[in-house]
Amino acid sequence: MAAKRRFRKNDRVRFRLGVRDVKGVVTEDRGPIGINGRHLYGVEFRLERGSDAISYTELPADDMHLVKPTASTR
Amino acid sequence: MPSNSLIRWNGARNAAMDEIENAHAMVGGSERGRRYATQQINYSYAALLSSHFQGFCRDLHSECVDQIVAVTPAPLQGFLRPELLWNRSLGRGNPHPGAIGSDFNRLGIEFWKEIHALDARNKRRSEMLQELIDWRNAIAHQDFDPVAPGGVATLHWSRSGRGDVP
Repeated sequence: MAAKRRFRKNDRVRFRLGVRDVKGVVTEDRGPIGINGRHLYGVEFRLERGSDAISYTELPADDMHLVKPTASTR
Repeated sequence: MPSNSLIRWNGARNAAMDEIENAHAMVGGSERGRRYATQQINYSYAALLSSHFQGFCRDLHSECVDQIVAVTPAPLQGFLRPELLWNRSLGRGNPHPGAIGSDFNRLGIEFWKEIHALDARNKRRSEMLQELIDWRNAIAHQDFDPVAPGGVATLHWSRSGRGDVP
């Protein structure tokens, strides 16, 4: 069985929010507190690009994909 | 079966608080300075207990949200989760009874009504929780008039607030 992906603080991730993809940043490893002890991660994101309002959610690793840094964001 | 949050409370969180109790025990002797030293440890203990209890409540809330989201249809999960976590009091303030109630009530329960119905001792426990938070605030702001002239917290008092997580 493949090892579960682990994320770290400041990782940029992509996840599904309703019918669209949203990008966010991992702010915290919340530990193995989810269903069956799965790790949850705190993720901050903006609902609108350029918005000042920061939203927060907590997601299991399976619901997130790591966003590789591009040359412009490195 | 205990929640994952309670397992963490009984493990790492309790171990951290045991260290404070050990430090208290190691400040031995009967000199006048001992009372001052142990008082500062008691203050640390109360602040640490408040902090870890906040962490426990926040963990438990996250765990509940994960359980609720898991049984909702997949297309709804993405935006239900941030809605349930939005503006969570336990994410930014003290774990006083009002904060705990408002956060857990959003999960579709009448939190304190149900907690008080579970065990007759829970009413007193919630009052003691408020006392702990009042002390935590007094310690953090060094203003003890609201809780006790002289501001003497005892280890017994601090410990009594720790072992009562149902």
